[in-house]
Amino acid sequence: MQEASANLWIADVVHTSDISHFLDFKGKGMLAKYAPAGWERFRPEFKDADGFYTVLRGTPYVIAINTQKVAKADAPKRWKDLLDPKWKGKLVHAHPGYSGVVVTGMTGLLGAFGWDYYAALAKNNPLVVQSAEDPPMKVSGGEAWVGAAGEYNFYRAIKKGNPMEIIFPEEGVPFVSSANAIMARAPHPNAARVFTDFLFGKEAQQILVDDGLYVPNEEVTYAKDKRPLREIKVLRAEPEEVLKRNEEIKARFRELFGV
Amino acid sequence: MTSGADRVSRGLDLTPAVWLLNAAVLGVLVVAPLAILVHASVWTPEGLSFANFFAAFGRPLYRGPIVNSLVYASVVGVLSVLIGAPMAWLVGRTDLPGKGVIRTLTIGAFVTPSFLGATAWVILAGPNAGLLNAIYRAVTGAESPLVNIFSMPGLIFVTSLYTFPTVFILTGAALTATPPDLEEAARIAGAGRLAVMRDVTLPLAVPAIVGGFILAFLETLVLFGAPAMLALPARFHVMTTQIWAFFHYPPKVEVAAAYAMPLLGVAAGLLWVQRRLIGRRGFTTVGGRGSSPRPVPLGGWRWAAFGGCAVVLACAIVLPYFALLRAALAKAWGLGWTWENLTLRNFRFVLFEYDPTRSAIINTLVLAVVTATLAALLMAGIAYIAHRRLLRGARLLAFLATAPLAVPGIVLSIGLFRAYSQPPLLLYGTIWIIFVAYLTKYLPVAYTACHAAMATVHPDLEDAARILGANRLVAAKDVTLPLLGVGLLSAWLLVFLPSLRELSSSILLFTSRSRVISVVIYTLYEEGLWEAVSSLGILLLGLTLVIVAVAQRFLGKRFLQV
Repeated sequence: MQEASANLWIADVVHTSDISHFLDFKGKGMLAKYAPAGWERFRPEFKDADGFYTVLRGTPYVIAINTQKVAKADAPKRWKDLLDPKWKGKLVHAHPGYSGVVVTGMTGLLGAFGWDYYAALAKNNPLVVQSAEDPPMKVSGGEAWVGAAGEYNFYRAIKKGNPMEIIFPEEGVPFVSSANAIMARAPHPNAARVFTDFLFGKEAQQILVDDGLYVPNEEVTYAKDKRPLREIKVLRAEPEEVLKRNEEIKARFRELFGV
Repeated sequence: MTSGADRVSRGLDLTPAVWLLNAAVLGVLVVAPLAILVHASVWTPEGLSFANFFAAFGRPLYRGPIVNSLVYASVVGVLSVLIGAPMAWLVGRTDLPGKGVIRTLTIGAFVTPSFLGATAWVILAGPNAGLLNAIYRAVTGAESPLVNIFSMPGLIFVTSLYTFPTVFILTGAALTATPPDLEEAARIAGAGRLAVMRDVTLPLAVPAIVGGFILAFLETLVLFGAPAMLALPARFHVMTTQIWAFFHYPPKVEVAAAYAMPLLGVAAGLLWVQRRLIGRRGFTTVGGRGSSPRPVPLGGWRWAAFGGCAVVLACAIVLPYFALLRAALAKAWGLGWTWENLTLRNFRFVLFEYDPTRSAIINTLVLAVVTATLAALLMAGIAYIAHRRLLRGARLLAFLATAPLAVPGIVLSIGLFRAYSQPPLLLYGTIWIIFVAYLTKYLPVAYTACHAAMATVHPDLEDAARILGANRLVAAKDVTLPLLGVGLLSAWLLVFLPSLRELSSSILLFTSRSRVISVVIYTLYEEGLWEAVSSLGILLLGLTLVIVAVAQRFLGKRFLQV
């Protein structure tokens, strides 16, 4: 945005973790229409109907526990379980002001439970952290016993051997989509298209999958311990909704949590 | 000195031109981004107005952080002086054991990015899983923790650990430049150690101590890393995290600019206070370096003093870097050190497999060296102009030189971005805009150091040279400059070392070709790769220590005799 307002067109391709940014960009005419090779066979929820952007990677917003601190029997099974006073002082929550992942996650949960959920959560005094990547770190180290984040962050840490376990709450999970697009005034449009095709091709998509992400290209092979996409119950958070509720979420979070 | 007299009658006296050029460069460097910032603060889509100021300060919610910041910065400033000044005296003037180690570790603290130190301290003192708290619980069987780092005292503590080196270096330089004759005289006259320190050494070091407090205060006022880690979980904002909140998508840049304006006022205020305190009092000592001071014997206090320094450095370096090492050598840091968990993989990844690292290391070193050299020379000139009042408006120059320090890195970078992203000055996308950002940001540090150094060189020496026939430029070059020696070196250090860890400007202005080490560390952190973050943090420390050791070998003891 900063570069655009200065009339600087340096970037060819843009990718952020927050899909609502792309609605904004599209509205301002900053994107070029392009469907990467194989687009027709992509999963429909990863595509923009107008063809200006395509979701490159997605991850469900889930809970994880520290297995050294929390016994399997005591683990939360639902989002509502996090409101139990036994988790007081043991939760971590990332701040929506710094991350689109968190805004999307909160939009999904707000759609299902409303602001009463967060008012109750605030009573459990969660540790508020700046980065969306911080909850996995806090839970790994045991500073928090339970936290929510994009699943692939937990997945990566667990693969290294950190003592955590992912939980898909019964009510369903928001799905965080991160999109990719070509800039309307890209200095190298052809290279941009070739690169985009590569990003959505089997090889690059497999790399993303190995990292724990979900991708639009169906030719990839997911690890055995990953829950298949069709089995995930999704709490829908449409990009338009995320964009619309952005300011409200930050303002009310500040009211409830103080920062 | 006679050689100067021989040269004098030839050629033009370039003196005024040099001073004007010096002032002009300063003007451009500082005024351009600040002017853009001021303009941004009053700009709205409907025209110029104070709407942004109302938006910024209208709500009590936004005023709270101002108070928090002032308290935070003041206490850190005071603590930094209380820690840094005595340590400088102990290392520079007494027979303290282990001086080399203490100096080296203090420099290590100087190059540690504050957010890295803060994160390490979370691992040490987080209320639930902090290592220190775990030990405390195991020993005493208590339920609640010994310390909770997520608090204002915790934030103040951690920040002071990485800010005291500034005062240490400044005070050390002042002490080294002060010949021991006055202290010797006092001792001969019968004054005890404490009396000498209190009545002779301390007053002479006052300009440096005051300068150090101001630098520590302003540096803390605009710090972002540590507050983001510690204040947010403690549920309070300081001005910098609040400004960052204004940048949340969609960014309200103009409101952020308005919000940052009072900081400039604070800088002006502090400069005025500095002038009142130091002003016309005589701190100069004729002659510059005399004999090396005889170390003050500490007697029974030797090991107690060493213990005090050791505690400080344990908190700043030993404990946090131990926490980092724990992660750097671990496959999964959450498991701690077990035989199965040990690995060198993270270092290998960071050094050889992760692309940005190598270019980042080169960029960082080049930037730090060039910025430090240019800043020291430029500010020596400005400090000279201000001291000798060579130009009208010398005080304005002094203010301009100090102003950037009061502007948070992120806000300054906005101004810089807008100033240098259009032709003919299209610097954005290259390493040069980051260079300009560093230069602008560290001018105040260099200026304060040079200003304090200038205070110790009496104009009489220069005047003597001029009476003999040298023009002012020659006199400055041949007489004052060498006498400033140690002071200039400390100014150079005070810019070089923090440049290695600078984050708040770099993070906004970097592109894929112009990364620096701190940016790489931070982006690795944002990707949740804590093991890699720790490895790179330790490598940064190692790199710095190597540089310092090499410099010491080549420049001799003078390099670190501060």
